[in-house]
Amino acid sequence: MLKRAGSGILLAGGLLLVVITPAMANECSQAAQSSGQCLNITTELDQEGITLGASTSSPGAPGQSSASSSGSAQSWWSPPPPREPVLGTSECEIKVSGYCRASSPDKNPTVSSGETAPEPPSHASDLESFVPGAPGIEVEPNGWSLPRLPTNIFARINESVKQGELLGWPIQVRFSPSTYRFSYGDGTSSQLSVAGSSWGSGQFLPTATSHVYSYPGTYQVGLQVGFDVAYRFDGGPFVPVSGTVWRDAGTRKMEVLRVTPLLVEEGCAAHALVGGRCSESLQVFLGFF
Amino acid sequence: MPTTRLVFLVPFVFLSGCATPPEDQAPQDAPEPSALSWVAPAREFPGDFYDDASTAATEVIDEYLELTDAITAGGGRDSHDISSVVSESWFSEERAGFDYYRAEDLRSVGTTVMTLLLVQSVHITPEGTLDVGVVMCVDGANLFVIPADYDDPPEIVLQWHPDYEDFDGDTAQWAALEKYLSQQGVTWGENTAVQAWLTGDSLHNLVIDSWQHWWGVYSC
Repeated sequence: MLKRAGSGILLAGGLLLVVITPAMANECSQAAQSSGQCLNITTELDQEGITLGASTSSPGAPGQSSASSSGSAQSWWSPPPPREPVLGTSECEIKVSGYCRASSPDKNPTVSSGETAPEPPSHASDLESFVPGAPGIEVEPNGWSLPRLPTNIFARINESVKQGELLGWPIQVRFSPSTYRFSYGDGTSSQLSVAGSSWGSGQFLPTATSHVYSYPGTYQVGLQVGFDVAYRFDGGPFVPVSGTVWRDAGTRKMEVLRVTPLLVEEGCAAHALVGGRCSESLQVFLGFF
Repeated sequence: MPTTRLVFLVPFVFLSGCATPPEDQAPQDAPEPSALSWVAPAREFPGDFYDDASTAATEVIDEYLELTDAITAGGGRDSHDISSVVSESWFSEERAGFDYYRAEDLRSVGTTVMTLLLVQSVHITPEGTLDVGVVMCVDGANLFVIPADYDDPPEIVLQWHPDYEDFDGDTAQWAALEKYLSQQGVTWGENTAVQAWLTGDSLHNLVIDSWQHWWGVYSC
Protein backbone atom coordinates (compact mmCIF):
# COMPACT_ATOMS: atom_id res chain seq x y z
CA MET A 1 0.00 0.00 0.00
CA LEU A 2 1.43 3.27 -1.02
CA LYS A 3 -0.31 6.53 -0.64
CA ARG A 4 0.40 9.72 -2.34
CA ALA A 5 2.18 12.47 -0.58
CA GLY A 6 0.29 15.44 0.59
CA SER A 7 0.98 16.36 4.11
CA GLY A 8 3.70 16.55 6.62
CA ILE A 9 5.21 19.31 8.61
CA LEU A 10 8.91 19.10 8.59
CA LEU A 11 11.54 19.48 11.19
CA ALA A 12 14.39 21.83 10.72
CA GLY A 13 17.44 21.07 12.70
CA GLY A 14 20.68 22.20 11.49
CA LEU A 15 23.99 23.82 11.50
CA LEU A 16 24.22 27.29 10.07
CA LEU A 17 22.06 27.20 7.02
CA VAL A 18 21.93 23.46 6.78
CA VAL A 19 18.57 22.11 7.67
CA ILE A 20 17.76 18.46 7.85
CA THR A 21 14.13 17.91 7.29
CA PRO A 22 13.08 14.36 6.78
CA ALA A 23 9.40 13.81 6.53
CA MET A 24 6.95 11.10 5.87
CA ALA A 25 4.70 12.54 3.30
CA ASN A 26 1.94 10.03 3.30
CA GLU A 27 -0.57 8.51 5.60
CA CYS A 28 0.23 4.95 6.42
CA SER A 29 -1.16 2.58 9.00
CA GLN A 30 1.06 1.19 11.72
CA ALA A 31 0.82 -2.29 10.23
CA ALA A 32 1.97 -0.95 6.89
CA GLN A 33 4.75 0.99 8.53
CA SER A 34 5.98 -2.04 10.43
CA SER A 35 6.30 -4.04 7.26
CA GLY A 36 8.02 -1.36 5.24
CA GLN A 37 5.15 -0.54 2.93
CA CYS A 38 5.28 3.19 3.47
CA LEU A 39 7.06 5.75 1.42
CA ASN A 40 9.43 8.12 3.15
CA ILE A 41 10.22 11.51 1.74
CA THR A 42 13.22 13.30 3.12
CA THR A 43 14.36 16.80 2.42
CA GLU A 44 17.71 18.35 3.09
CA LEU A 45 18.43 21.98 2.57
CA ASP A 46 21.89 23.36 2.06
CA GLN A 47 23.08 26.80 1.18
CA GLU A 48 22.17 26.57 -2.44
CA GLY A 49 19.33 24.17 -2.82
CA ILE A 50 17.37 21.23 -1.59
CA THR A 51 17.84 17.52 -1.97
CA LEU A 52 14.76 15.38 -1.86
CA GLY A 53 15.00 11.72 -1.08
CA ALA A 54 12.53 8.90 -1.19
CA SER A 55 12.78 5.50 0.33
CA THR A 56 10.26 2.81 0.81
CA SER A 57 11.28 1.12 3.98
CA SER A 58 11.89 2.46 7.42
CA PRO A 59 12.18 -0.67 9.52
CA GLY A 60 15.53 -2.14 10.27
CA ALA A 61 16.75 -4.87 8.06
CA PRO A 62 19.76 -7.15 7.83
CA GLY A 63 22.82 -5.13 7.15
CA GLN A 64 21.35 -1.96 8.51
CA SER A 65 22.22 -2.63 12.09
CA SER A 66 25.17 -4.51 13.33
CA ALA A 67 26.64 -5.61 16.57
CA SER A 68 30.29 -6.30 16.96
CA SER A 69 31.85 -8.97 19.06
CA SER A 70 33.39 -6.32 21.23
CA GLY A 71 30.01 -5.33 22.42
CA SER A 72 29.82 -1.97 20.74
CA ALA A 73 27.13 -1.18 18.27
CA GLN A 74 26.65 1.01 15.28
CA SER A 75 23.36 2.63 14.63
CA TRP A 76 22.49 2.86 10.96
CA TRP A 77 20.01 5.59 11.59
CA SER A 78 19.84 8.48 13.95
CA PRO A 79 17.03 10.95 14.37
CA PRO A 80 17.52 14.58 13.48
CA PRO A 81 18.44 16.82 16.37
CA PRO A 82 15.50 18.39 18.15
CA ARG A 83 15.01 22.05 17.62
CA GLU A 84 13.25 24.51 19.78
CA PRO A 85 10.36 25.82 17.73
CA VAL A 86 10.01 29.53 17.30
CA LEU A 87 6.67 30.90 18.32
CA GLY A 88 4.93 32.53 15.43
CA THR A 89 6.49 30.40 12.75
CA SER A 90 4.52 27.98 10.68
CA GLU A 91 5.74 25.23 12.96
CA CYS A 92 4.46 26.87 16.07
CA GLU A 93 1.39 28.98 15.66
CA ILE A 94 0.69 29.14 19.36
CA LYS A 95 2.19 27.70 22.50
CA VAL A 96 0.24 26.18 25.33
CA SER A 97 2.02 25.16 28.50
CA GLY A 98 5.31 25.51 26.70
CA TYR A 99 4.33 23.23 23.86
CA CYS A 100 3.64 24.21 20.33
CA ARG A 101 0.10 23.70 19.25
CA ALA A 102 -1.77 23.83 16.04
CA SER A 103 0.97 23.17 13.59
CA SER A 104 -0.39 20.10 11.95
CA PRO A 105 -0.29 18.95 8.41
CA ASP A 106 -3.57 18.81 6.62
CA LYS A 107 -5.71 16.07 7.94
CA ASN A 108 -7.01 15.10 4.56
CA PRO A 109 -4.33 15.74 2.00
CA THR A 110 -5.50 16.19 -1.51
CA VAL A 111 -5.11 13.09 -3.58
CA SER A 112 -4.73 13.87 -7.19
CA SER A 113 -5.13 11.96 -10.39
CA GLY A 114 -6.31 8.44 -10.68
CA GLU A 115 -3.13 6.89 -11.91
CA THR A 116 -1.74 4.01 -9.99
CA ALA A 117 1.50 4.57 -8.21
CA PRO A 118 4.36 2.39 -9.30
CA GLU A 119 5.07 -0.46 -6.97
CA PRO A 120 8.44 0.23 -5.43
CA PRO A 121 11.06 -2.35 -4.66
CA SER A 122 11.35 -3.29 -1.02
CA HIS A 123 14.24 -1.04 -0.09
CA ALA A 124 14.43 1.43 -2.89
CA SER A 125 15.72 4.90 -2.42
CA ASP A 126 16.27 7.85 -4.64
CA LEU A 127 17.69 11.33 -4.38
CA GLU A 128 17.39 14.40 -6.50
CA SER A 129 18.69 17.90 -5.91
CA PHE A 130 17.01 21.11 -6.87
CA VAL A 131 18.28 24.67 -6.93
CA PRO A 132 16.38 27.89 -7.50
CA GLY A 133 16.94 30.03 -10.52
CA ALA A 134 19.70 32.64 -10.36
CA PRO A 135 18.59 36.11 -9.29
CA GLY A 136 19.82 39.27 -10.95
CA ILE A 137 20.58 42.80 -9.76
CA GLU A 138 19.14 45.83 -11.48
CA VAL A 139 20.41 49.36 -10.85
CA GLU A 140 18.59 52.48 -12.03
CA PRO A 141 19.72 54.66 -13.63
CA ASN A 142 21.58 52.14 -15.70
CA GLY A 143 24.78 51.57 -13.79
CA TRP A 144 25.20 55.11 -12.51
CA SER A 145 23.67 57.50 -10.05
CA LEU A 146 24.16 60.76 -8.25
CA PRO A 147 25.08 61.47 -4.65
CA ARG A 148 22.29 62.22 -2.19
CA LEU A 149 19.63 61.03 -4.57
CA PRO A 150 17.87 57.67 -4.44
CA THR A 151 19.42 54.95 -6.55
CA ASN A 152 16.91 52.30 -7.39
CA ILE A 153 18.47 48.90 -6.74
CA PHE A 154 16.19 45.93 -7.03
CA ALA A 155 16.21 42.18 -7.52
CA ARG A 156 15.14 40.41 -10.64
CA ILE A 157 13.78 37.00 -9.68
CA ASN A 158 10.46 35.26 -9.76
CA GLU A 159 9.00 32.22 -8.10
CA SER A 160 10.05 29.07 -9.88
CA VAL A 161 8.92 25.45 -9.84
CA LYS A 162 11.42 22.75 -10.67
CA GLN A 163 10.35 19.36 -11.89
CA GLY A 164 11.87 16.07 -10.90
CA GLU A 165 11.18 12.45 -10.30
CA LEU A 166 11.65 10.18 -7.30
CA LEU A 167 11.14 6.47 -7.62
CA GLY A 168 9.19 7.08 -10.75
CA TRP A 169 6.87 9.57 -9.12
CA PRO A 170 6.73 13.17 -10.28
CA ILE A 171 7.90 15.70 -7.75
CA GLN A 172 7.95 19.45 -7.91
CA VAL A 173 9.94 21.87 -5.81
CA ARG A 174 8.79 25.45 -5.55
CA PHE A 175 11.25 28.22 -4.73
CA SER A 176 9.57 31.45 -3.62
CA PRO A 177 11.89 34.43 -3.14
CA SER A 178 11.17 35.93 0.24
CA THR A 179 14.23 37.71 1.58
CA TYR A 180 16.65 40.03 -0.14
CA ARG A 181 20.02 40.98 1.28
CA PHE A 182 21.41 43.97 -0.53
CA SER A 183 24.96 45.11 0.05
CA TYR A 184 25.56 48.53 -1.42
CA GLY A 185 29.33 48.57 -1.51
CA ASP A 186 29.55 51.64 0.69
CA GLY A 187 29.67 49.71 3.91
CA THR A 188 25.93 49.52 4.34
CA SER A 189 23.46 46.77 3.64
CA SER A 190 19.78 46.03 4.03
CA GLN A 191 17.72 42.91 4.41
CA LEU A 192 14.34 43.47 2.83
CA SER A 193 11.27 41.41 2.19
CA VAL A 194 10.51 42.97 -1.16
CA ALA A 195 12.38 42.60 -4.41
CA GLY A 196 11.64 46.11 -5.56
CA SER A 197 10.76 47.17 -9.05
CA SER A 198 11.67 49.57 -11.78
CA TRP A 199 11.12 53.27 -11.40
CA GLY A 200 9.11 53.54 -14.50
CA SER A 201 8.56 57.25 -15.06
CA GLY A 202 9.38 58.37 -11.52
CA GLN A 203 13.14 58.63 -11.73
CA PHE A 204 15.18 59.49 -8.64
CA LEU A 205 12.24 58.98 -6.36
CA PRO A 206 12.57 56.80 -3.27
CA THR A 207 11.42 53.21 -3.64
CA ALA A 208 11.13 50.31 -1.24
CA THR A 209 14.58 49.14 -2.25
CA SER A 210 16.33 52.37 -3.20
CA HIS A 211 19.55 53.47 -1.59
CA VAL A 212 21.21 56.84 -1.25
CA TYR A 213 24.93 57.13 -1.78
CA SER A 214 26.59 60.02 -0.03
CA TYR A 215 29.73 60.28 -2.09
CA PRO A 216 30.83 59.82 -5.66
CA GLY A 217 32.76 56.70 -6.46
CA THR A 218 32.62 53.21 -7.84
CA TYR A 219 30.61 50.71 -5.85
CA GLN A 220 29.98 46.99 -6.08
CA VAL A 221 26.36 46.21 -5.35
CA GLY A 222 25.70 42.70 -4.09
CA LEU A 223 22.55 40.69 -3.56
CA GLN A 224 21.61 37.42 -1.95
CA VAL A 225 18.09 36.12 -2.29
CA GLY A 226 16.53 33.80 0.24
CA PHE A 227 13.90 31.36 -0.98
CA ASP A 228 11.10 29.65 0.85
CA VAL A 229 10.92 26.06 -0.35
CA ALA A 230 8.00 23.71 -0.70
CA TYR A 231 7.65 20.44 -2.51
CA ARG A 232 4.76 18.64 -4.05
CA PHE A 233 4.68 14.93 -4.58
CA ASP A 234 2.68 13.51 -7.42
CA GLY A 235 0.39 16.48 -7.76
CA GLY A 236 -0.53 16.76 -4.09
CA PRO A 237 -0.50 19.99 -2.15
CA PHE A 238 2.77 21.79 -1.64
CA VAL A 239 4.42 20.91 1.64
CA PRO A 240 6.57 23.68 3.08
CA VAL A 241 10.11 22.91 4.12
CA SER A 242 11.52 24.69 7.13
CA GLY A 243 14.54 26.78 6.41
CA THR A 244 15.74 28.99 3.62
CA VAL A 245 17.78 28.38 0.53
CA TRP A 246 20.07 31.25 -0.41
CA ARG A 247 21.23 32.09 -3.87
CA ASP A 248 23.87 34.68 -4.64
CA ALA A 249 23.20 37.10 -7.43
CA GLY A 250 26.83 38.16 -7.62
CA THR A 251 27.76 41.82 -7.77
CA ARG A 252 27.17 44.67 -10.10
CA LYS A 253 29.41 47.67 -10.55
CA MET A 254 27.94 51.14 -10.49
CA GLU A 255 29.28 54.67 -10.63
CA VAL A 256 28.11 57.47 -8.42
CA LEU A 257 29.05 60.56 -10.35
CA ARG A 258 30.56 63.73 -9.04
CA VAL A 259 28.20 66.72 -8.97
CA THR A 260 29.43 70.25 -9.40
CA PRO A 261 27.39 73.45 -9.30
CA LEU A 262 27.56 75.10 -12.66
CA LEU A 263 25.97 78.26 -13.86
CA VAL A 264 24.68 78.15 -17.37
CA GLU A 265 23.10 81.00 -19.17
CA GLU A 266 20.43 78.90 -20.83
CA GLY A 267 18.64 78.74 -17.51
CA CYS A 268 18.35 82.49 -17.08
CA ALA A 269 15.97 84.59 -18.99
CA ALA A 270 17.83 86.64 -21.52
CA HIS A 271 16.54 89.91 -20.22
CA ALA A 272 17.56 89.03 -16.65
CA LEU A 273 21.16 88.09 -17.34
CA VAL A 274 23.30 90.85 -15.97
CA GLY A 275 27.03 90.43 -15.76
CA GLY A 276 26.79 86.69 -15.99
CA ARG A 277 24.23 86.47 -13.19
CA CYS A 278 20.50 86.30 -13.14
CA SER A 279 19.17 89.47 -11.75
CA GLU A 280 15.80 88.09 -10.60
CA SER A 281 16.95 84.94 -8.90
CA LEU A 282 19.98 82.76 -8.86
CA GLN A 283 19.49 79.79 -11.09
CA VAL A 284 21.89 77.03 -10.24
CA PHE A 285 21.96 73.96 -12.32
CA LEU A 286 23.88 70.84 -11.87
CA GLY A 287 26.43 69.53 -14.21
CA PHE A 288 28.63 66.49 -13.87
CA PHE A 289 31.99 65.34 -14.99
CA MET B 1 31.28 72.75 -23.58
CA PRO B 2 28.53 70.17 -23.45
CA THR B 3 25.75 72.68 -23.29
CA THR B 4 23.21 70.48 -24.96
CA ARG B 5 23.93 67.68 -22.57
CA LEU B 6 23.59 69.93 -19.58
CA VAL B 7 20.34 71.41 -20.65
CA PHE B 8 18.94 67.96 -21.25
CA LEU B 9 19.68 66.96 -17.70
CA VAL B 10 18.55 70.13 -16.10
CA PRO B 11 14.83 69.57 -15.76
CA PHE B 12 14.74 66.46 -13.66
CA VAL B 13 17.95 67.07 -11.79
CA PHE B 14 16.87 70.51 -10.79
CA LEU B 15 13.46 69.42 -9.65
CA SER B 16 14.85 66.59 -7.67
CA GLY B 17 17.41 68.82 -6.08
CA CYS B 18 14.70 71.02 -4.62
CA ALA B 19 13.56 68.28 -2.34
CA THR B 20 15.31 67.29 0.84
CA PRO B 21 17.53 64.34 0.04
CA PRO B 22 15.91 61.22 1.43
CA GLU B 23 17.58 59.14 4.04
CA ASP B 24 18.62 55.59 3.43
CA GLN B 25 15.73 53.26 3.15
CA ALA B 26 15.14 51.43 6.37
CA PRO B 27 15.00 47.66 6.05
CA GLN B 28 11.48 46.48 5.91
CA ASP B 29 10.52 43.77 8.28
CA ALA B 30 8.95 40.67 6.88
CA PRO B 31 5.19 40.58 7.34
CA GLU B 32 4.14 38.95 10.54
CA PRO B 33 2.85 35.44 10.08
CA SER B 34 -0.86 35.31 10.13
CA ALA B 35 -2.48 32.83 12.45
CA LEU B 36 -4.43 30.07 10.88
CA SER B 37 -8.14 30.44 11.20
CA TRP B 38 -8.58 27.24 13.09
CA VAL B 39 -6.19 28.21 15.84
CA ALA B 40 -8.70 30.43 17.55
CA PRO B 41 -11.29 27.80 18.46
CA ALA B 42 -8.63 25.73 20.19
CA ARG B 43 -8.16 28.53 22.69
CA GLU B 44 -11.77 28.37 23.70
CA PHE B 45 -11.59 24.91 25.17
CA PRO B 46 -11.41 24.58 28.93
CA GLY B 47 -7.96 24.64 30.40
CA ASP B 48 -7.93 20.93 31.17
CA PHE B 49 -9.37 19.92 27.84
CA TYR B 50 -6.04 18.98 26.39
CA ASP B 51 -5.35 16.74 29.37
CA ASP B 52 -8.68 14.99 28.96
CA ALA B 53 -8.11 14.66 25.24
CA SER B 54 -4.66 13.25 25.91
CA THR B 55 -6.06 10.62 28.25
CA ALA B 56 -8.77 9.64 25.80
CA ALA B 57 -6.41 9.51 22.85
CA THR B 58 -3.87 7.47 24.79
CA GLU B 59 -6.44 4.80 25.56
CA VAL B 60 -7.50 4.51 21.95
CA ILE B 61 -3.97 4.45 20.59
CA ASP B 62 -2.78 1.88 23.10
CA GLU B 63 -5.64 -0.35 22.04
CA TYR B 64 -4.94 0.33 18.39
CA LEU B 65 -1.31 -0.72 18.73
CA GLU B 66 -2.22 -3.79 20.72
CA LEU B 67 -4.77 -4.85 18.11
CA THR B 68 -2.38 -4.11 15.27
CA ASP B 69 0.31 -6.28 16.81
CA ALA B 70 -2.18 -9.06 17.41
CA ILE B 71 -3.46 -8.99 13.85
CA THR B 72 -0.01 -8.89 12.29
CA ALA B 73 1.12 -11.66 14.62
CA GLY B 74 -1.63 -13.71 13.03
CA GLY B 75 -0.35 -12.96 9.55
CA GLY B 76 -2.79 -10.15 8.80
CA ARG B 77 -5.89 -12.22 9.17
CA ASP B 78 -8.72 -10.93 11.33
CA SER B 79 -8.10 -7.43 10.06
CA HIS B 80 -11.67 -6.57 10.89
CA ASP B 81 -10.75 -6.58 14.56
CA ILE B 82 -9.15 -3.18 14.12
CA SER B 83 -12.45 -1.60 13.11
CA SER B 84 -13.40 -0.97 16.72
CA VAL B 85 -10.73 1.69 17.06
CA VAL B 86 -10.58 3.23 13.59
CA SER B 87 -13.04 5.20 11.52
CA GLU B 88 -14.80 3.66 8.59
CA SER B 89 -12.83 5.75 6.15
CA TRP B 90 -9.52 4.81 7.73
CA PHE B 91 -10.34 1.14 7.93
CA SER B 92 -9.52 0.63 4.27
CA GLU B 93 -5.99 1.82 4.97
CA GLU B 94 -5.68 -0.62 7.82
CA ARG B 95 -7.00 -3.48 5.80
CA ALA B 96 -4.57 -2.77 3.00
CA GLY B 97 -1.72 -2.86 5.48
CA PHE B 98 -2.82 -6.17 6.92
CA ASP B 99 -3.47 -7.64 3.48
CA TYR B 100 0.19 -7.15 2.71
CA TYR B 101 1.10 -9.53 5.50
CA ARG B 102 -1.16 -12.15 4.04
CA ALA B 103 0.02 -11.56 0.50
CA GLU B 104 3.68 -11.75 1.49
CA ASP B 105 3.17 -14.48 4.05
CA LEU B 106 4.57 -12.41 6.90
CA ARG B 107 3.88 -12.27 10.58
CA SER B 108 5.09 -10.16 13.46
CA VAL B 109 6.65 -11.06 16.78
CA GLY B 110 6.86 -8.63 19.64
CA THR B 111 5.09 -5.47 20.61
CA THR B 112 4.75 -1.87 19.57
CA VAL B 113 4.33 0.69 22.30
CA MET B 114 3.49 4.35 22.44
CA THR B 115 5.78 6.17 24.81
CA LEU B 116 4.90 9.85 24.64
CA LEU B 117 1.87 11.67 23.41
CA LEU B 118 1.03 15.31 22.96
CA VAL B 119 -2.33 16.61 21.90
CA GLN B 120 -1.40 19.15 19.34
CA SER B 121 -4.67 20.57 18.17
CA VAL B 122 -8.37 20.07 18.45
CA HIS B 123 -10.91 21.05 15.87
CA ILE B 124 -14.65 21.08 16.05
CA THR B 125 -16.02 20.30 12.64
CA PRO B 126 -19.08 22.03 11.25
CA GLU B 127 -20.93 18.79 11.99
CA GLY B 128 -20.02 19.11 15.65
CA THR B 129 -17.58 16.24 15.86
CA LEU B 130 -14.16 16.51 17.38
CA ASP B 131 -10.96 16.12 15.43
CA VAL B 132 -8.06 15.61 17.79
CA GLY B 133 -4.56 15.82 16.40
CA VAL B 134 -1.83 14.15 18.41
CA VAL B 135 1.88 13.65 18.01
CA MET B 136 3.52 10.74 19.75
CA CYS B 137 6.48 8.43 19.86
CA VAL B 138 5.69 4.95 18.65
CA ASP B 139 8.40 2.47 19.43
CA GLY B 140 8.43 -0.48 17.08
CA ALA B 141 11.99 -1.50 17.78
CA ASN B 142 10.81 -4.64 19.51
CA LEU B 143 8.44 -5.67 16.80
CA PHE B 144 9.98 -8.05 14.32
CA VAL B 145 8.36 -8.74 11.00
CA ILE B 146 9.46 -12.08 9.67
CA PRO B 147 8.42 -14.64 7.08
CA ALA B 148 5.63 -16.69 8.55
CA ASP B 149 7.62 -19.91 8.47
CA TYR B 150 10.58 -18.51 10.41
CA ASP B 151 11.12 -19.38 14.01
CA ASP B 152 10.43 -16.75 16.61
CA PRO B 153 13.43 -14.66 17.59
CA PRO B 154 15.45 -16.26 20.37
CA GLU B 155 15.01 -14.81 23.78
CA ILE B 156 18.39 -13.14 23.61
CA VAL B 157 17.21 -11.18 20.59
CA LEU B 158 13.98 -10.06 22.16
CA GLN B 159 15.77 -9.16 25.34
CA TRP B 160 18.57 -7.07 23.92
CA HIS B 161 17.49 -5.81 20.59
CA PRO B 162 17.96 -2.94 19.90
CA ASP B 163 19.93 -2.05 23.00
CA TYR B 164 23.21 -3.39 21.74
CA GLU B 165 25.10 -0.64 23.45
CA ASP B 166 24.32 -2.12 26.82
CA PHE B 167 24.72 -5.73 25.85
CA ASP B 168 27.59 -7.45 27.57
CA GLY B 169 26.82 -11.03 26.61
CA ASP B 170 29.31 -13.63 25.63
CA THR B 171 30.45 -14.54 22.17
CA ALA B 172 27.82 -17.22 21.73
CA GLN B 173 25.05 -14.80 22.54
CA TRP B 174 26.41 -12.26 20.09
CA ALA B 175 26.52 -14.94 17.46
CA ALA B 176 22.90 -15.84 18.14
CA LEU B 177 21.86 -12.23 17.87
CA GLU B 178 23.61 -11.65 14.63
CA LYS B 179 22.56 -14.92 13.13
CA TYR B 180 18.91 -14.23 13.64
CA LEU B 181 18.97 -10.60 12.60
CA SER B 182 20.94 -11.27 9.46
CA GLN B 183 18.38 -13.64 8.05
CA GLN B 184 16.80 -12.60 4.81
CA GLY B 185 13.38 -11.13 5.37
CA VAL B 186 13.78 -10.27 9.05
CA THR B 187 13.00 -6.64 9.73
CA TRP B 188 12.19 -4.62 12.77
CA GLY B 189 10.77 -1.24 13.56
CA GLU B 190 12.15 1.80 15.24
CA ASN B 191 11.14 4.52 17.62
CA THR B 192 9.56 7.18 15.49
CA ALA B 193 7.26 10.13 15.84
CA VAL B 194 3.78 9.65 14.53
CA GLN B 195 1.02 12.11 14.00
CA ALA B 196 -2.51 10.82 14.22
CA TRP B 197 -5.95 12.27 14.00
CA LEU B 198 -8.76 10.92 16.07
CA THR B 199 -12.35 11.76 15.50
CA GLY B 200 -15.56 11.25 17.38
CA ASP B 201 -18.68 12.80 18.82
CA SER B 202 -16.93 13.27 22.13
CA LEU B 203 -13.69 12.42 23.85
CA HIS B 204 -15.28 9.19 24.97
CA ASN B 205 -15.91 8.02 21.42
CA LEU B 206 -12.70 8.74 19.61
CA VAL B 207 -11.45 6.51 16.84
CA ILE B 208 -8.34 6.83 14.71
CA ASP B 209 -8.94 8.59 11.41
CA SER B 210 -5.41 9.17 10.17
CA TRP B 211 -1.91 7.91 10.94
CA GLN B 212 1.33 9.15 9.50
CA HIS B 213 4.91 9.70 10.37
CA TRP B 214 5.75 13.03 11.90
CA TRP B 215 9.11 14.73 11.89
CA GLY B 216 7.99 18.03 13.26
CA VAL B 217 9.18 19.59 16.46
CA TYR B 218 8.84 16.40 18.41
CA SER B 219 11.87 14.23 18.35
CA CYS B 220 11.61 10.70 19.63
